[in-house]
Amino acid sequence: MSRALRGKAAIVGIGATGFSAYSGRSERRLAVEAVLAALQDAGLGPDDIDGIVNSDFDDTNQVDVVNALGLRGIRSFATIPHGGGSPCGAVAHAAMMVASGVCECVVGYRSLNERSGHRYGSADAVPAFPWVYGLHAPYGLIVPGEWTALHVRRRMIEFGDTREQWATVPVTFRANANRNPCAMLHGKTLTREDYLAAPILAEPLCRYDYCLETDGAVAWLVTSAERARSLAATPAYIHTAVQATGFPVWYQSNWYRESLTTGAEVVAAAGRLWKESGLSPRDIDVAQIYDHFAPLVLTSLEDYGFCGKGEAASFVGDGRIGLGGDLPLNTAGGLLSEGYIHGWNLVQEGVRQIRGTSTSQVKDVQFSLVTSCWGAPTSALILSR
Amino acid sequence: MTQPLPNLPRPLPRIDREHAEWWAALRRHELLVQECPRCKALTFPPEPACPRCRSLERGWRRSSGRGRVLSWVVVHRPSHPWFADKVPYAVVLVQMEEGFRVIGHIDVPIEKLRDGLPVEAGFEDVNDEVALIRFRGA
Repeated sequence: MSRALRGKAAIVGIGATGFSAYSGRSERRLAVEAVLAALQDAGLGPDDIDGIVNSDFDDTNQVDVVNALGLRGIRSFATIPHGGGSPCGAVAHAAMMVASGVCECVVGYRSLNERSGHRYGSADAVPAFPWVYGLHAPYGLIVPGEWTALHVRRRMIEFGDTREQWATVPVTFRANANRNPCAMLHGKTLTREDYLAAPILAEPLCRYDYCLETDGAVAWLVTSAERARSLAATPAYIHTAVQATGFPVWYQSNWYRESLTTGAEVVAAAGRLWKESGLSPRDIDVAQIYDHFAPLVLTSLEDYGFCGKGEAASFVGDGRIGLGGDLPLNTAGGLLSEGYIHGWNLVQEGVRQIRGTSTSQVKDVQFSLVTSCWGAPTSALILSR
Repeated sequence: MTQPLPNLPRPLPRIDREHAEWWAALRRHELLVQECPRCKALTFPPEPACPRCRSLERGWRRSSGRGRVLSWVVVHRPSHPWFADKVPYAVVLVQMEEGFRVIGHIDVPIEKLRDGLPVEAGFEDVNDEVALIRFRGA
């Protein structure tokens, strides 16, 4: 997104299903429920929608959403690739569709029965492992946590990071989830002692370092800034939205490139984000940092420039990332504790912070940052009032 | 968290054209790295063009097999049934002398693993097409 698009579009509706371990209904149904909820939130109807976007890895074909809701006026559609790297990129594409004048109102959705249906990394997913997966899966590195552990070990070697330090991330996010009735882990507390006593799965990672697996869906609506001002909800203006691949990049198995502790794709996205927004990390009031794995939040904070390389483990201490701190993070609980809608629920919370409706609301939010996945072609989004 | 894992065969690579020669060499107990015949850049994992000079001509260079441990993971809870009776097991990332990196198993006790540990590649035959890398202390 170039500077010329700044503030031309806004997120005007957000909708979601409940987040659970068993939805009891189809992913198609979840997607449609979320879209209807977003329409109701915005005070718009299906006939207002003329563009549609979603993420890859989504088994709900756009055709199913069109047919279920009778969307008769779709004139542009796109699916944004790279899984958890895609959510902010989907917003960027919707903004481009609107700012170009091709569309007036674009719906985006992400739906998955990730817990009760097919689970990412489950052993029955592939009989033989293609692409670069074939170079590590035969050794027993099958799931993303086992790949991520290699990166986290390097943080421990290079920076001296400890589990005691990065425990702050899951413990803080859980406290946020405890205030959010929609969070899967709303009713379950997590103390530092709980964290340190948890069994190790792929050393050095324990279960609380892993994101959740969730059944649910999230949808949003993007329209022009002009139209947004006439709608019910406070518009969350798309100040800046960027995508970047960096080079080289794979999917969470980025140990062939020079550094295991710096994300080429995130550094590239961050460079564009700050340049095109005219902002710096100090201008961000609240951030939703993609938290597929707790220690990767540290690497992301460094790569986005919130602190120097190797400094994040101490940066997150002293309450800085909690509610009331300098940089409150993942205020709905994040992917670790609210739910894992592949990063789309982080966008939803970024909008709530602009509206003033978060259950862990930060005061006087002017700029709300949302990021997508570290370790795959990625994207980032700054929303503004 | 724990649930019964289905009975599945050992995970194997699905070998594509870019990786065919690399796997064939491993089965001969040779470790290769892709080398650009034009600019001599080493590329791993292999690519259909040289990311430095963009040549479509591709070639290979034999590695000394010597390297140093750069990182490792110790898996305690198996995510694949074939590894259920093998936990805890270590998997290492090794920086080879030539500068490229590979994943392998290692015949060094878990408690002896450390950054920079010198290792040498050995090979474990799995079937007629596949051998895996098994490092030992050097």
